[in-house]
Amino acid sequence: MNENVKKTLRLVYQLLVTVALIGAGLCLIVACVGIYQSGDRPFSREAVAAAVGGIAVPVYAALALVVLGFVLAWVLPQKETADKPDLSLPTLRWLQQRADLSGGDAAGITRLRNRRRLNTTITAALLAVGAVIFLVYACNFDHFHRSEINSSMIKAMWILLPCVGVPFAYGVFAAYDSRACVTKEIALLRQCPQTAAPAEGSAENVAWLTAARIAILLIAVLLLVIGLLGDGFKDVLTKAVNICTECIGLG
Amino acid sequence: MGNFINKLKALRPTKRKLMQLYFALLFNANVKGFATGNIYTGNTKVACVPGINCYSCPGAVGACPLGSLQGAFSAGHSTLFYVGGILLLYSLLFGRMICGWLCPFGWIQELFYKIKTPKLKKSPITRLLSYLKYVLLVVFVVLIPILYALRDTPLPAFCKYICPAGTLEGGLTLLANKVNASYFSMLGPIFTWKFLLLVSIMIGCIFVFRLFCRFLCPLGALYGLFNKLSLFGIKLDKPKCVDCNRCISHCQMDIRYVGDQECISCGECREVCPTGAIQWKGVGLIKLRQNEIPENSPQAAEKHAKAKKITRAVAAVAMLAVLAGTMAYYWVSDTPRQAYPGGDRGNAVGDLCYGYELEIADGNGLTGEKIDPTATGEVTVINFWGTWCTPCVNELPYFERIASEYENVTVLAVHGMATVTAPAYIAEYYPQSEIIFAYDYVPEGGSQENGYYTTLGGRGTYPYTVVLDKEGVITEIFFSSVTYDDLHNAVEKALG
Repeated sequence: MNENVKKTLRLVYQLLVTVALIGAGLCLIVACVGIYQSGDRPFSREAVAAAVGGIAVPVYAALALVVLGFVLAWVLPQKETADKPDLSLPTLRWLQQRADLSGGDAAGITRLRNRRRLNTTITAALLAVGAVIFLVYACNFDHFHRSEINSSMIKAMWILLPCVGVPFAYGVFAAYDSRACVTKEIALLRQCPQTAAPAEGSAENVAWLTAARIAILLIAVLLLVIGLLGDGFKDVLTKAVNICTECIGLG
Repeated sequence: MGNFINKLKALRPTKRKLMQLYFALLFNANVKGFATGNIYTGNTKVACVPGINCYSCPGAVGACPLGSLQGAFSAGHSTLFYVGGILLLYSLLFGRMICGWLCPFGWIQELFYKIKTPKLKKSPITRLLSYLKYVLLVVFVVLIPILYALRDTPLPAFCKYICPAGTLEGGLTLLANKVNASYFSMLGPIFTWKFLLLVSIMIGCIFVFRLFCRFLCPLGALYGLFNKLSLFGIKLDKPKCVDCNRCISHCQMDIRYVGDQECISCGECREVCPTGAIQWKGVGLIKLRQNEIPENSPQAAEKHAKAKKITRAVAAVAMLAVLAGTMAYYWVSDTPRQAYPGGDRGNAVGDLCYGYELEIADGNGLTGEKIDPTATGEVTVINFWGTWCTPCVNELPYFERIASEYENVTVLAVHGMATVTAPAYIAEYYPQSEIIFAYDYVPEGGSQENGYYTTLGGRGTYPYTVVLDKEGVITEIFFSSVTYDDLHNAVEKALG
């Protein structure tokens, strides 16, 4: 078959299967919310089966398309194309190790580097502020009622959302701004004369790694022995064989 | 014909995929559980498996490390030490290699990603999102469970509100079995939320490689911290590296360099490295043997290749034998929860209830007295609870209210197992209670086959409440938590 026809076929299929899968997912979500809001409590297996039966056609259609995709891929194989992620940071690191700044625009490079650092610092600071706000909220025991755990958790999530959301929103801006800086920095570094790469890896690093491994191993074994001697394993067994239904989400 | 064979060969799974399948089967070797709808209650659940594998899955034969960790905060120091020690050992040995090779949920996500759709590639946004799992680790796995543990209320917040592996492996597999039809009655807002989350995450996994692992998994976040220190995994031989960055370009995780905290040691970057600078850690012995072969000795090389082939075949046979043996063991050893012999008695609504001698307890432990719930001569409410179970401890006040409101009603709170936490809990919160606290029978070894809970039809899920009338006939069964109104109505019904 002509390569162009194959390509068009694949494209049409991918579009179809994407729509079908997202559609099937939405159907499942709508069905689930519908069952929940129907108010026919307590729910029964029959009632749920009847409600889910209504979306059987789109779900089966999506599954059929998925199977068709595997058959198509087998009949009309496509050469895997490698992902092309943003490689600017590794390139920058490579150039930083080799560039002789005295022969280029050192001031410009430093300015861009500082801008990147500022972006990182602001993101980290916002995250730290968010963490402090949430911790202050969390440390007040009155916010976490024993008898109303679910509503307490919802309130806590409303507090957590901006604490994480604001740093994340700034982080998105910072990520793209930093990438622009990196692109410019790479261009400036490329104008600098290149020197030999610095030697990496030393006996000290290996010794540090070994020491850290031994220390962690000793700590782990010590914890395990204390846990075993104190019958800590019994509680693990208790929780694993006596399932709290609400704790696994059946509630 | 040759073309057809080549196409068939192209379908051959990689070694890693086979290992993922192998460990998914090994961690869920209680195949009988899927058929019977009962979870495994044997002693091997004392050990945590390395990957996320919900212990409420009917096939699970080990405990989930993340669930155990959250539970440990409310259980006591020795449990925390025990679970912490196991997690540290796993981290030190494998790091995030566990995510790439051993985690069943990681394997499920990769299967979804196989679906032929357009894919969303990694970007600065996904890299930023990869830090979200640390927030979840701190807030849902550590902070909230500790906060509630300080108030004597166990709350595994990640399991309860987020874990999609629990919804899929535990919730849905239990609900799928007709035997557990009664579980539908307990579904409500939490399950609805978790189901929506599961569907969203699984749809996301079709378009984004390992969406849950990369952005949400707290266990991966924890293991990732030890990636550099782990004994097994991937490492970069710096002197050999030519900084071509093909490894980073090829990798689908949000790595900055090979072996960092995002690397799951899948080893796929080794195939694209032009200089062989990426190597496995912890295979020093094999390397030594290779070096022993003289360069100009084709016979020795051939011999070595043959030996390698034989070793692989023996290893594969041994692994299959272990899997088959494990499955056979669980098939035979997991005796079904059996009813206490009681003649013409039963455990369904309308049956004359099985009798039993329960050990009465108070804040100091066992009192030495016994009680048979069917021989009280009054309407009796039997509530099976546990200090590890949030809804259980939350609904106890309703039982307390019923016990104080009705003089002619006996309320029994039967603790699932005689753990160290129960007497202290009773002493602190119910020192002068009208409720009669009791322990279920616990045979040697910690398993509770044939206890009163199982005799009355409990299948490993808590809370569980049974209401008897004056004659000892079962009038109502609650498979999940109850409200005061539920209890009040059930008691009124039993009183006639």
